[in-house]
Amino acid sequence: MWIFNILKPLPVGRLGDVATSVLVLGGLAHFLLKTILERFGKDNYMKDLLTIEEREDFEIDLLLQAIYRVSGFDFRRYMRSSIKRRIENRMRLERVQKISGLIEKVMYEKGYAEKMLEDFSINVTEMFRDPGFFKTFRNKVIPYLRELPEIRIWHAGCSTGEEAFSMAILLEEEGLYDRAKIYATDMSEKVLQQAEKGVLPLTRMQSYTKNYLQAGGNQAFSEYYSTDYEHAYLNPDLLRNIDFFQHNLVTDSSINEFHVIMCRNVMIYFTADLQEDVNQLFYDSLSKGGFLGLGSKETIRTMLFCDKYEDFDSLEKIYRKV
Amino acid sequence: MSFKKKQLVVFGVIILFLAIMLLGIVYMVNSVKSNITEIVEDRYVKVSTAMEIRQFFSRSDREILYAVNDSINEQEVRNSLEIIKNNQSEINLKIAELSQVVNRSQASQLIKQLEANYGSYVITETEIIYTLEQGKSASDLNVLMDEQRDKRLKVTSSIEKFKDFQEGLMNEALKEANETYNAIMQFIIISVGLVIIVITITMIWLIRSTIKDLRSITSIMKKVDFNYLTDLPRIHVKTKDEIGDIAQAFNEMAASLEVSYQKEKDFTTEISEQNWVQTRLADIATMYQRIVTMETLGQRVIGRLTPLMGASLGVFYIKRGQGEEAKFVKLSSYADGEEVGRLEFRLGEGLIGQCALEKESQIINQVPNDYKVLSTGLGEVAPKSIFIAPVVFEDEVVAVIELASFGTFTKLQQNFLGRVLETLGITINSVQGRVEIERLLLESQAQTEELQVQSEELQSQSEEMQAQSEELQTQAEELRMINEQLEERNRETEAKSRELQRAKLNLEDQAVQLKQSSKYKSEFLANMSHELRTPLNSILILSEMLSEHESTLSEEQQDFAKVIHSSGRDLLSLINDILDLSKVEVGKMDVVFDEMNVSELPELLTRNFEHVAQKKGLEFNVQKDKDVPDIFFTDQQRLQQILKNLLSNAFKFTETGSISVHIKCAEEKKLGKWINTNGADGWLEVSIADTGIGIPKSKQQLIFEAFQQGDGATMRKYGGTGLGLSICREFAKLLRGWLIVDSEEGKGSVFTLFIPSLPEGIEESDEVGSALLQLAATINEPVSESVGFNHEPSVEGQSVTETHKPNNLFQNKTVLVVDDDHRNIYALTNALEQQGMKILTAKNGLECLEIVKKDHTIDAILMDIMMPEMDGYETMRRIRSTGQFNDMPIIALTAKAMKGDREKCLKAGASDYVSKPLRLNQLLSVLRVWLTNGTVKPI
Repeated sequence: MWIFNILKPLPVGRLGDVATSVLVLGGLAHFLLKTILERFGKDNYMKDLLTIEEREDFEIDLLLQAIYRVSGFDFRRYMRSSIKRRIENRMRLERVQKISGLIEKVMYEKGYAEKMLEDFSINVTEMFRDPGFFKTFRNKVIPYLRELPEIRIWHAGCSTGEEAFSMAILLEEEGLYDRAKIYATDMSEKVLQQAEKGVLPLTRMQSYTKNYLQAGGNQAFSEYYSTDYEHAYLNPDLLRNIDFFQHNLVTDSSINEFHVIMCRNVMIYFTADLQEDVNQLFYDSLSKGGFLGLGSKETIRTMLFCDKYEDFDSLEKIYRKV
Repeated sequence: MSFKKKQLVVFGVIILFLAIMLLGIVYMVNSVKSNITEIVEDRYVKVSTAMEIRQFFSRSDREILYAVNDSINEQEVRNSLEIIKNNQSEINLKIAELSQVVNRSQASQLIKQLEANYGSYVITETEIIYTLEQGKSASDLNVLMDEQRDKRLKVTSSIEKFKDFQEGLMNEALKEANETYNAIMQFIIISVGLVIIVITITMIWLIRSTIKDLRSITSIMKKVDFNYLTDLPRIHVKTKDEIGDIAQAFNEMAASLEVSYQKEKDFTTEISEQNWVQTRLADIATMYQRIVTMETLGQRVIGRLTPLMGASLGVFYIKRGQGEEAKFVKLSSYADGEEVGRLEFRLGEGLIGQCALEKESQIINQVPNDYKVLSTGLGEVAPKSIFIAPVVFEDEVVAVIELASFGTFTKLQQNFLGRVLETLGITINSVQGRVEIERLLLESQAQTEELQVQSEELQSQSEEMQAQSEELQTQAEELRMINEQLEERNRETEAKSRELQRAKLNLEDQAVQLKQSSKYKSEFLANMSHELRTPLNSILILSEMLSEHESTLSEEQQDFAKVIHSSGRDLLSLINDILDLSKVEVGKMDVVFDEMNVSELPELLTRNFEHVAQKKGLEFNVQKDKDVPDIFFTDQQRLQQILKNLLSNAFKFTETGSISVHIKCAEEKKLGKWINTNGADGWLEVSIADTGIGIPKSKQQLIFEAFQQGDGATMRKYGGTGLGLSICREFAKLLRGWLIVDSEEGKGSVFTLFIPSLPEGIEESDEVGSALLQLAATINEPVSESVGFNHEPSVEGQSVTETHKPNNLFQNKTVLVVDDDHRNIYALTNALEQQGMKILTAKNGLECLEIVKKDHTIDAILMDIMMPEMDGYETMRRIRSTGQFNDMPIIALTAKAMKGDREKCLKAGASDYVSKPLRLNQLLSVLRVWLTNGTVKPI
């Protein structure tokens, strides 16, 4: 109760002088706080130095902002952990000590932002990735698609197109390809250019063959490609109903109404909040009874969408819009 | 008197009267009965007996008369007499009977008289009978008959007298009975009337005395309203009879009805209140569903609860933190502005804190006027009462609700709030649980995804590394290949040299002869560059000197010198060209990729050719586009050489007009049709246009071949070796570029050179070199003269890399072909060997297994399925079962028609399958796939 002793000499007793007492009390509190903080040696009160983490975080913010302003690609709602690792990777390669160094490069070096974009977009894909998924798709989803006069499929984040090619093969084998249209989109123009060629590295073909067979392919996989010494070239005929074009899930809106949307292992790079937005985008872009295919480690996790989808195949992550 | 007594009296009187009446009637009936009995039983019998007697008598009389008067025969008389005698005895009997029954003196006198009369009659009669029996004497009989007549009359009269007497008595008795009957009737009428009167009176009395009280009771009872049994009327009867009892009972019933009605009413109220509470509770409980955040819960609870409680302001505080740290934070509010109300309380702090501490609800009804205000549109008002209630879960306060109202909180509302709070605690807990679960779920999901991201990143990194290591591998492989080739060649050369050695020994004597000429040849070639140039040099210098104007020679002589000079220069350039070309074609030309400053190029060209242009009077200009980068990676020397060659060519064949050079960036797309553009940083396009003689379309391809010009005449006219363009194209190829021509005869030509910028240099240079070396080696012996002459120009549009690399993939790969059909084996073997593969063959599964066991160099197996001895399936199973050859690519050759084959193949262990009939392209594609050191991810 020492505070009362301090207060005693102050003219609080007098009515109407409340303002004065408040000022005095405020000043006193400020002084006390400052003294205490100084005593304990913490500089939180007047912050002029950032911790390493804060600084890094701040720098990443700025870098992403810079990239956004320079290239129009927004990575601010991507998972920080991944972005951070990619940045660290780039810093290691460039022997840059600080993230700010990258900001400078992004702003002053021509084409550097694009380089960073390439770093951020991880284009891991393969044909018939998770063969079980394609097998289930073939056995369970195809019967529904068979009923449709026209089938529109969207591969969002198609990377170099391997999954879209797989889908084309699957539809071809099921006799549905002629009435199907596959829209394969990615934010990166570069991978789309690659995808449009329908060229695959020869070294991956053995594993693709295995995937194809496990996914229930009913022809010889070699029917679909020819090779030279380092590439396999998909039959151009297979690409006839695939449309590759640029679309950024972060910034662009719905493009059509689809019967199937495939977005496998794309949203894992997004923050929960962005995932929700993208989920909304997919929901809006799916026709009633349409299917959404996600990656093996993904779910429609937010309560918001639980009710709107039926767990069509929970093991292979195929959802059906109610 | 009680109702019972009254009834007893009344009914007693009635019964008494009835008894009396009955007795009277019985008595009278009895007397009637005795009269009748007398008449019927006594008098009637006596009269009838008298009548019988008279009958008998008259019969006897008639018989006598009959017997007397009309006796026809004796028999009849006898019968009559018999009857008479019988009648006599009968009559005597009857008279005796009568005399016994007669009870009156007069009657007995009459009987005696009759008896006497009859006695005398019998005597007479007996006499008559006797007479008759004695024989008939009419006189006697007459006498007797007369006598008998008298006597008969006397008897008859006495019977009549008796009969009359008795009849008189009978009439008397009848009269008496009639009188008695009348008396009875009278008596009955009177007594019945009497009884009726008595009963009526008593009944009236009885009814009167009871009905009055009953009426008063029923009138009171009728007044009762059965809908509202609260205040029932009471009956005030003081009598102590049954009516009194009824009244008493009614009063008691009314009292108990009132009580039970009250109870029922209370009960109903309670039920409806409970109903109200239950409905609201159920409402709130359903509201709890699907709530996933505390904020929504708080918002909904307070939003619903406040109006239900009749309150106008509500705040929901939720507990945050544990133990000492615990505090109650404002979660949501109803009708509360942000500025009103404290945001948090500690345990025990303020009423909220206190409430949380004590775990008890508080109601404050005396709220001071300056207490917290409720804002309305028009102003601010102080609430009348405040309700602070804790939400308890497992004996711990998890939240506190404060409600403020203009009115007071009713018991019902308090009760309701109590009930709400009971479930709210559980709900808060479960929502918190749900939030926690959701949070954990999201966290785990995020972690899973993070793992996936990391794995993808790793995969992509590993792919990069893989790509790098593969590149290294291929490079190493290539080096190894080259090494092998070199070694082989080494061996070959060694062998050759040994052979040569032998040949040398054999041919030693011949050698001496040949030595001179071969020495001459080699020396000629060795000295070609040097020795020929040296004299040429002097010729050139001297002839130039001679041709100068200042010389003392005549004009004609000067002209000769000029001819000598130009011929010498032609000769020199021919020698240079031959060497250059042979060097290129032998692969000894060094190419050094380095930075080159393109901006210097126009100046260089201008400097070199300006004077020639002036000399020939031609217009010459060099133009460079602005967007051409300054720095370019190529072999500067060779590029300049090409350009110079092209330009001197242009100047050579152009007499009038202009020559222009245009340097610009090439469009890669345009280039794509001629050349593989991979790996270049950018492309430079240099076109050299002249207005010279042009080249006819048919010759345009030929000009790039060695020693070819437009035609022989041209060569003669313009001189030159015809090697220039060949060299240009070879150089251009060396620089990974290309040279094309577009020309129209007589109008001029445009030569366009495309050159890539290659900062990394050329990877395959060694290989190209080696390939060319190989080529050169074959024409090694007569070193110079034929170099390049019979070298075929490479096919248009095919880049150097593409022509040579595919062989590498199949080179030295061993493929085992398993097929029972020797034609198939033959075809496959030929086709694959042509690609550079080594082919082993097996005719069936057993052979195949043996070969696989022995030969470990096999890279792939082509397996037919239908074979004798052991089919493809079994063979594959056996191969795989050893475990040693799990990674061995086995490509099954199946017939397309058999659908099940595919699955069987895969089950048996095939890596892939190809349908028969085979297409060679497809087979090669598949082999490329399986002979590449692919990265098969383990699945």
